[in-house]
Amino acid sequence: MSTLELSEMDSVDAVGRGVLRRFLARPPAVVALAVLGVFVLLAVIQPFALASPTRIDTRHKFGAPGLAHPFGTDELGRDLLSRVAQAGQASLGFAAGATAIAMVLGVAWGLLAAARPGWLDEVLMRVAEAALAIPTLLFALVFVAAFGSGILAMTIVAGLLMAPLTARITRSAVLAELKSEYVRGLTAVGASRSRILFAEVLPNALPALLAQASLNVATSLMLEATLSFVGLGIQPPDASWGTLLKAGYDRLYESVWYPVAPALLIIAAIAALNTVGDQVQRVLRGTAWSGR
Amino acid sequence: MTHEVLRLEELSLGVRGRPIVRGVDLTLRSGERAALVGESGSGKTMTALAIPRLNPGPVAVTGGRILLDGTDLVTASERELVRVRGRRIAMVYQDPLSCLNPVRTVGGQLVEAIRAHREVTAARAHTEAIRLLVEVGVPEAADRLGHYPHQFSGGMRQRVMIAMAISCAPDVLIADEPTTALDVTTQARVLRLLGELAERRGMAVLFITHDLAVASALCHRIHVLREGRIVESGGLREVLTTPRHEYTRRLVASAVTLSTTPAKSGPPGEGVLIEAEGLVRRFGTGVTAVDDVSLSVRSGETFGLVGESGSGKSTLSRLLLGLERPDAGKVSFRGTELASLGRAGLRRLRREMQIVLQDPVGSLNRRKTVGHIVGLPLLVHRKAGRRERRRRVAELLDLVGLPASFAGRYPHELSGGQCQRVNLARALAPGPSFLVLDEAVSAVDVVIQAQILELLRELQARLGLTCLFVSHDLAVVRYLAPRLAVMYRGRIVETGTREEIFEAPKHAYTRSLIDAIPALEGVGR
Repeated sequence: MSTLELSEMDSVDAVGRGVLRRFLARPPAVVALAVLGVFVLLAVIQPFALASPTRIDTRHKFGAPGLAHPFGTDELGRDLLSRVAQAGQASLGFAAGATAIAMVLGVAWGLLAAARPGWLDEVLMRVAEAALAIPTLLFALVFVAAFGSGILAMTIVAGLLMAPLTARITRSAVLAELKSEYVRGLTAVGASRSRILFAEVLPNALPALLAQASLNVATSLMLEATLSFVGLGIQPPDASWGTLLKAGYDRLYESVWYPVAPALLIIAAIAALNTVGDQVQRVLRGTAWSGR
Repeated sequence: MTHEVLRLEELSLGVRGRPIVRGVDLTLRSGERAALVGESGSGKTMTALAIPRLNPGPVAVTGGRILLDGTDLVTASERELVRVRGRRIAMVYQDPLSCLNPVRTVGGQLVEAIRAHREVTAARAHTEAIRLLVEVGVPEAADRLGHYPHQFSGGMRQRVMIAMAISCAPDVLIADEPTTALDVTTQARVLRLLGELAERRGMAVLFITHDLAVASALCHRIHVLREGRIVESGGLREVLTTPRHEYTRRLVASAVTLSTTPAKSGPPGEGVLIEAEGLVRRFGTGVTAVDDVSLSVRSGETFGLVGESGSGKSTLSRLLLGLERPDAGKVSFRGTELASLGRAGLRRLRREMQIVLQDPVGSLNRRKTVGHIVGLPLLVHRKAGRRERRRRVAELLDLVGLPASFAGRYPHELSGGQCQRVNLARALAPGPSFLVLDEAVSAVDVVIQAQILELLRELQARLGLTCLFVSHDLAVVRYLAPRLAVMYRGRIVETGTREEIFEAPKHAYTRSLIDAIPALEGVGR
């Protein structure tokens, strides 16, 4: 029995920590997560804690922000904070749904391409590229024109639109992992191809996919806001951040404050999501540096 | 008359308050060749980089002086440093390919280096570049100037780097592991070149290495660095024959050379375990990696396979394991031909044949615990339950000399040597009878290498394993394997017992390999 030498024990370094812990050690990431947390919280507590978004108060039309109405009131004197919070349910729900569809579809797509090099990979990737070549907005407009602008249809369309990019990201992340030495080790041990792919490689590619997911949420928020702003998205009486922004923009001469809240929320949410994606990628690149 | 050119006084370096080099004192006289020897993480590269103040961002000089002919480089301005770098102090690094610009010709880069410090015309610099390449022994120098780095072999690339380094006739040449990425025969030639250049030009050389034997082939003085401190300094012979510090003694004792007494091995069993006949493996690029190779390994023996990089030894071991299919020829394991087995049959055979790869850390999945990694073969091959796996993992870790508590750790929390033990434990998990060790000790430090070799010898004897020990290091193969084969350009040029090969090598290539191995002069064990 050979024993462990001191020199071996000494050189153990504590460089490696989990991706999550290194992510949370970055102030921008924490701020971005906090911002997103507040938005989600607002949307969730709106039915219980805030004033009713449908209560009309014609005496206080176009109210400026104040103690009673932190974001002011709209053309019917409704509280804008609760309206924005309620719209957040639609906007965030739409973004989450679209992202979920994009991730499920895109990851399966990319994984299949990475696992089956050859003609299947070629076909899948060329299809993805063809889909990517069409401008997103144009695509969305055509879909909405064809299938109407119900929130479910729009969610599915947005999910489909983001799937090809997700597939490409997944493929390259998985291929990079498949080339590494540990996969050769696993093959030599006798692990099956599917075990290597699903149990060993995919979890390692997860952080890269999370970064892509946060960008997907940002993209779909943006898409919803754009479509709603041009009047093709979610239709009144349903409200989303995009429809509120549109409504506020139309009434800009009556109240400067009206469009401010939805605009700020959209900007802050997208900035926060991009920051999250960016920070995850930085953490991952950091792994590559210190990786021994 | 030699004079002192470089002097480090109490040099200390640190990263964000954590010291990495503590109070290093070192002097270098003109024409002197000194080695800074230490294992990875000892701070030797950081010390070397700090001398021309090229230490990377987070590493800062926290104390001491770096005196170059009396001028302190620690307090020197960036403008003064620019004049020093390349001109007074030049550097050669480990990996020449990543130091040369791949899209520019070697000549263009050499001319640029010359003109960076000397005001000469392009034509003069061009002539000078040819002269330099001739001096470092690049054949057909004038033609080679127009070639790109990828058109040079590793050894020739390192010569180009050396030519670039000496282009401005520096007083000090710092060479950081310049031969580690090279083959043994090339390494011997580059070492000889460095020695000649230092002598002819009266240049001081600071040679950074982890390998005491390589240092002894070139240097007069040895400084042993450990955990950022110089633990011993002295003349070559003095350090090697009468090491004072306990660590140096261990370093000297761990070095495996041609004079090391070979490991004892039990008598090999009778039958043949694995046999290859006329194996050929070609790659799409037209390269024949393995060319008509036949060999047989008897059960219970340790068989050595020696060759330089690109000789096809790794491909051969993959063919033997059935991880790759040969284009011609056959492999049989216990009389069963591998080609006759289907995918499922081959996977079942994995229980019997296992491999340990070169990169100790890279061959482990970084996001899985040691317990998962070592237990995986048990899950795959024996469908073992969680409790049984945990018990077996603890046994296996104990077998390779690791505490059972390591099961909960991740690869990055372990040192290279510990990771290689984990790799070994994983390979032993399914209870194989045939184990391939593909450069399994090449990436770890000398002291650790000695420990792993000892462990391998023990395990082999205890478990009655049949081992194929693949390595570029002839001394290590000689130490472990009573019978070996020498591979050169895809062919086996010589097979025989340890005594036959080392005492009476028949093939010219084998002879040149043996000659190229640096010896620890004056040290016998």
